Amino acid sequence: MQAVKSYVSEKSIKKKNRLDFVFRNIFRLTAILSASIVIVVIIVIAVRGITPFIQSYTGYNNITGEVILSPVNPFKFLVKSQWLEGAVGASSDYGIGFAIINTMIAVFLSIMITVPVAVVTALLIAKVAPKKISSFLRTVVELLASIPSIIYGVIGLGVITNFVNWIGGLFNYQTAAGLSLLSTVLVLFMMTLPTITAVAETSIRAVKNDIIEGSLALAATNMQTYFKVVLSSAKSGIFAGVILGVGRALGEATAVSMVSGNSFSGVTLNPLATTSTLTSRMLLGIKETSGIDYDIRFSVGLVLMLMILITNVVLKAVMKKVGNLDEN
Amino acid sequence: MKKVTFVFILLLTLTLNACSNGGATDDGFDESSKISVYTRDTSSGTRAGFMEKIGFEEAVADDSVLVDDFIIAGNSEIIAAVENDKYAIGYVSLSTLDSSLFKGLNYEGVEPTEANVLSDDYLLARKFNYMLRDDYSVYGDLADEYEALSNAFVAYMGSSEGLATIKAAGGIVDVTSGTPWATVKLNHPIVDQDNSALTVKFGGSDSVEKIAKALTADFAPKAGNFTPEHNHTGSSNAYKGLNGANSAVNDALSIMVGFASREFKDSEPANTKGVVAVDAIVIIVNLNNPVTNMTASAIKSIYSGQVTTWADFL
Repeated sequence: MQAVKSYVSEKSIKKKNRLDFVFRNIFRLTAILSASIVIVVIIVIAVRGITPFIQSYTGYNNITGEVILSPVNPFKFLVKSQWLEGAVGASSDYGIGFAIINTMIAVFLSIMITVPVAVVTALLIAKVAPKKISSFLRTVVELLASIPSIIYGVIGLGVITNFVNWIGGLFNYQTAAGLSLLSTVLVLFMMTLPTITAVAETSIRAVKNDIIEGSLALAATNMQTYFKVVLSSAKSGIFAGVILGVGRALGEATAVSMVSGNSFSGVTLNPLATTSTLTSRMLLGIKETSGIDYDIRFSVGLVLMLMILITNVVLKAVMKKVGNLDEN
Repeated sequence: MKKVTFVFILLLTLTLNACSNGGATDDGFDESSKISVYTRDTSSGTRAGFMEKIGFEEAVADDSVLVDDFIIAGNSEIIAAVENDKYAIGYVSLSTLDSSLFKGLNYEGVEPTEANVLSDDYLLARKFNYMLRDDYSVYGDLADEYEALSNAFVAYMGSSEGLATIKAAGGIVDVTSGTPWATVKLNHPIVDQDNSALTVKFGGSDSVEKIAKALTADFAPKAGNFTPEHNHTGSSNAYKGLNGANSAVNDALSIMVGFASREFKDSEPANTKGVVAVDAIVIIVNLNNPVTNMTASAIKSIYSGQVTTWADFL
């Protein structure tokens, strides 16, 4: 009786309520802090990115001297097929239309080859391989997912570009020492494969056992079961992995800038020709520029963020339509 | 299983077929091939020097006047590309020339050697310049020490030991014009103090980085063991970090001694500036390339895109 009474006394209840209040507000504060970081980043990029479109910069040309630059035309910026018309710092005629299309091509091609490989690997790890091998492979995939992108860039520069150069030799096409769309696609493949494999593997393992046993009971072979039943059930999870992979591929800067060749203009459809993505275009020369050439990179970043947003929305809408298998 | 084996064998046969028909032999040089043009970035002093000397000033900061499909790369990347690509052409600093790995072309008939640069016969040359701060007061109590140390460094660069160091690092200097450091240091008592608490920042052109680092490595023990810090991000950042927009003491780009691989412009004034060494720019091609000489108009036609295949030079 004594113990209960002390537990329920008014003083201790007030103290607990106070503690509760304090902690609740600490959590609120941390949540607001995290959210505000994202908002601050978006606002800074938006403000700096919009500046070239509304401000008139003063440029300097090594031949004609000081020039006043007109604000960048947003429509031309999104549509032009060449990065810059005129001297750096003396012209505001920027364009990234070609980079937008090249980015989409590179990401699309890399997803096309990554998803089949990732899904089959995930199937192998989750279902086919014996337990020891499967746990070993799972660890390997997790390690690969955490390798920094500069390492992939260095591997791309040393190994993949030589390989692509050799392929160019087979087709009698002269590549720029292997810097090409194909190298970019292969590097993106290496980078997104662990991400998609890990998520796909988790969602395959989550497929209910009674669906699999039902299919086997209907005299389907193992392979038929895996490909027709298991994969269909894991569809939405695999799609979530694809969305993650696309996000990573769209945002990859370091590795891509080292192997893509950073082409200056033109849409690249030839896999052995140099290309450039939005991210690699932002990175090229960023250390030594100032003025409009520096601020325009924020505009490119803004376009990239919009593109990632639109891609995510579209993919999520597709996922809703496609992955609507009843799971109960 | 049969289908898979069949497809695999089909692909294998196709690849082998392509192998035997395709491409020139390893050592052959196909003259009809396109020239792969490599250049430095628009903020590079090497590019500015190169383009001005060959008469292509518009291309110093303007990428759109260059040939289509040009590739932007740094000094070591151009070297790697030329070593691996038979049809590549690029330009690098003479101090990075290694004749066993790639070929340096003659310019207007003159071989790219140090002697030719010093005798002004080799025309594709530029001066490496240094610049000091005008205003040391931003360093507070240590302002006098830093100013004395920077001036001592300049004096060291003109001494015999300094010139030998510059030459060993690939700069072209007249080593006979130096005075021994033992004589020079008498004018700079700062070097006899213990300067291990001081950090002197060097920056500017990355073409001069190798020479700058060799100089500080040799000079620091002679000058009280100060700590040299190097941050070479481009010739334009020399003036900016010393007396320009980035000269505040807490700016990441602020420095005390700046180097540039080009002449300082009128918009970049300073009280103390001078020449460190002369550097030549060499046009380089792959070892398998039979071309040996380039004239200014020829190299300009390559970089402007008027000429696109190697056949026009052979």
